[in-house]
Parts: sequence; C-alpha cells; structure tokens
Amino acid sequence: MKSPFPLACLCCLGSLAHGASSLTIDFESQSPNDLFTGDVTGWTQDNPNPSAFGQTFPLAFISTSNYGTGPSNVGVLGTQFANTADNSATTVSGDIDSSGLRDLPANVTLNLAILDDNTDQFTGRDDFSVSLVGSASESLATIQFTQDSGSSSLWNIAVGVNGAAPTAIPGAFVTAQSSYIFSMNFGPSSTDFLYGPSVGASQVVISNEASVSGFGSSLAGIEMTHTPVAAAGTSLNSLVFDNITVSVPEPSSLTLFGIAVSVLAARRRRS
Amino acid sequence: MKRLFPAAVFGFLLGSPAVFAQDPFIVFGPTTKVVFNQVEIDGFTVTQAAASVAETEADGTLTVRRQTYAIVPDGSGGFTRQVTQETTVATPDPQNPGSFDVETTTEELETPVDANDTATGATETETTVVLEEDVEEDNLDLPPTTTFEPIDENLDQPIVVSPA
Repeated sequence: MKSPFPLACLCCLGSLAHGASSLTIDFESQSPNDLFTGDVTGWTQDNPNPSAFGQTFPLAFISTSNYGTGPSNVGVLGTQFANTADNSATTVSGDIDSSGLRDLPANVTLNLAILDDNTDQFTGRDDFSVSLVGSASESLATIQFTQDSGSSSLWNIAVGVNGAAPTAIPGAFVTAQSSYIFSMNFGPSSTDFLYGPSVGASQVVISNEASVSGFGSSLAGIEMTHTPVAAAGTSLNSLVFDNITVSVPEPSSLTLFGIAVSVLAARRRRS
Repeated sequence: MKRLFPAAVFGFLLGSPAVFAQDPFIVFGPTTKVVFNQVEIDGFTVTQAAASVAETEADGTLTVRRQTYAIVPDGSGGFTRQVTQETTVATPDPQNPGSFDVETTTEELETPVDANDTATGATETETTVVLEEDVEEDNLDLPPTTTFEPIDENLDQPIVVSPA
C-alpha cells in the first residue's frame, strides 16, 4: 500500500524550498556626485576625500554609467578627480546587514567595470578588489584585479576565500571600459566564482575555491578597494560597481526542503 | 631671450582679498584632475595639490594655467596656506612663423590660516613675470595639463571565454 502522504505535498514543499530573500543595491535612490563619505546610504569610506583650493575632490562618488540596459547610477572608486597623497589604499564598505539576508549560503552578483583611458597622459594604473566580509569583519571571498604588465588595457583576475591572498587565475581578465557581471556562489563544499559580459552571454567559471570557513555563518558587508600601484597622481583609473544582489534561501524554505527530503527518504525505505 | 621682472618691480601686494573669494583661477570641471603629492616645504612634509588646464585661441595663442596649494606649518603652532598661480601665454609671432613670445606670470600667495584652513590674517602676494621671445614651438616646454577627455558612460560588452 502506498504512503498516504500525497506526492503533491512533496512537490509543493519542494517548490517552496526554492524561495529566497534577496537584496539589491543599485544606487538609484542616490544622486550623481553623492559622496561615499556620508551621502550614500549604508556605505562608508575609510580615507577622507582630499581638499585643496577651498574644495573637496572625491575618491569615491556616485555617477552614471550604462552596463547595456540604459544609463543608471553607479558607484565609482579611483583616481578620476583626486588621489591620496601618500598613495594609501581607499576602501568603501557597503552594509548587507539586513534582516534575513545575513546568513550563508548566499549567491552574490554584481556589475563591475574598470575605467581607464590608455591614451591619456596619466599612464599609471592601479589595482582594485571586491571583498565580501562576515559579521566579525572577516574576509569571506575576494576578487582582485591586478594590472597586466604586458597590456595597458587589461587587469588580471585573482580570487581567494577565507582571507587568504587571492590566487591569480590564468586566462581570467577584464578589459578597460567593458561591463561585466561577477557571481560568487557560496555552497557547503565550494565557493564558485563566475563572470561574463553584463548582458547577453552566460557566465563562465573563473574558479571553484574551498567553501568559506564556518559555512552557515553571517555575510555582513561588501568592500570595494582601490590600491594605488602607480606613483601618486600618475593614474586616472576607477572601479565602477552597481547592481549588487545578494540572494539567500529563506530559513523557512530550507526547513521545508529538509522535511521534503526526509519524507522522500522515508518513502524509499518503506517501498 | 629671457627677461625676468623680479618682485621688486611689481612689489608685494599686501592685504589682497582671500584667494578663494576671487574668481577661481581654475574652474574644476568634470574633466579636471587634481594631483596630490607629498612634498617637503620649509623642512615639513606636507600635501601639495596641483592642477593645470590649457586652452588654445583661434589665433593660435596658447594659455596654460597651473595652480598649486599647500598648508605648511609655520613653526609656531600656526599654518600658512601657500598657493601658486602660474599663467603661461604663448603668442605666435606673426613675423616669425613657428615661433612664440612666451609670458609667464607667477603669483605666490601666502595666507596665515588655522588648522581648519580658515584665514587668520591677510594674504601676501608676490608676482613675478618672465618674458621669452622667439621661442621655437618645439622648445615651448609648457606645463603638462591635468585634464582628460570626457569618460564615455556607455560601456562595451566584452567577449568572455573560460580561463585556461
């Protein structure tokens, strides 16, 4: 005799398990020229913007860019208008500490681009990185962009997890003035890094790294860092970022998924 | 031929209005970068900002404006705002095609300020003018600008292949 537990219920539970909470940071509520030193909600900047001539010149700000779906507000970090005199790195940090969105496993996607005109007089180029951090400020996953020594328009990609120094991935690079989508998928057995053009073609795998330590702990924020490499004032390049989306399966959905799996296992044992 | 008109000729202009109350020497638009460096002035390591812009008139006259800015400790607990405004005008010589007459006017402004860059005294200005005649175009040696071409907001769609 078949189990009285209707198969339809299992299907229902299974479909509920696909539910997820998500958070998107797209800066559309901001205005162009807003600064990350106080204007951009949920974001902070560690270095002050330098001042001179009675004005302040931003290291990071809101601008507009077009990733292929029309102009939209974006975050910009780099040396377009100014630089740190001591060539210190600048980090802007965004809060992902919203209720229900802190817990791993999470899938994080974002649009990125590096702006640099390799025909201008600012011949220096710098490094950039994107890091996801946990609630104890620990680094969970990092994507690093390092200037290519052989090409003035390429930045090589390195990735890392659990605070380890990112490892360069041969053949993975971004081109200046191009728009990309990057994904970081956290799973119990691996952390997967992918990227592709921001619209159109599907993403390709950059690397499958180890799972983050304490999988199931908290994802709390995202950090964008500009690390000067060129001599102070000799670069004019920026990291552009937008559409940061964090998706986390809802705890209730995970519970339902667990129930569904348990019931299915019990049915198999009985049959 | 270089002719130097020392400060003694033009004198010191004491008590000039605060530099920032005047029309800006350079208008910092969306295509002008300010370069910040650490330099040593009067034995102190300070941050110096510099920017320069250029324009060319219809008759071929080149004008480059360069401005620097630094806040320097005065050694007695206060500070001095040091601003240099340099204007170089290269005018084509109609009698001698390919050569220019170059006039460089440098104003050095010093203002006592507090730690918040608020003026606590009058600005002293020292002006120097240097004239050079019959300068060949290749020898103009104009200050480099810190301006750049407008950034195109439309990004390209790259072709991405799997890493090797």
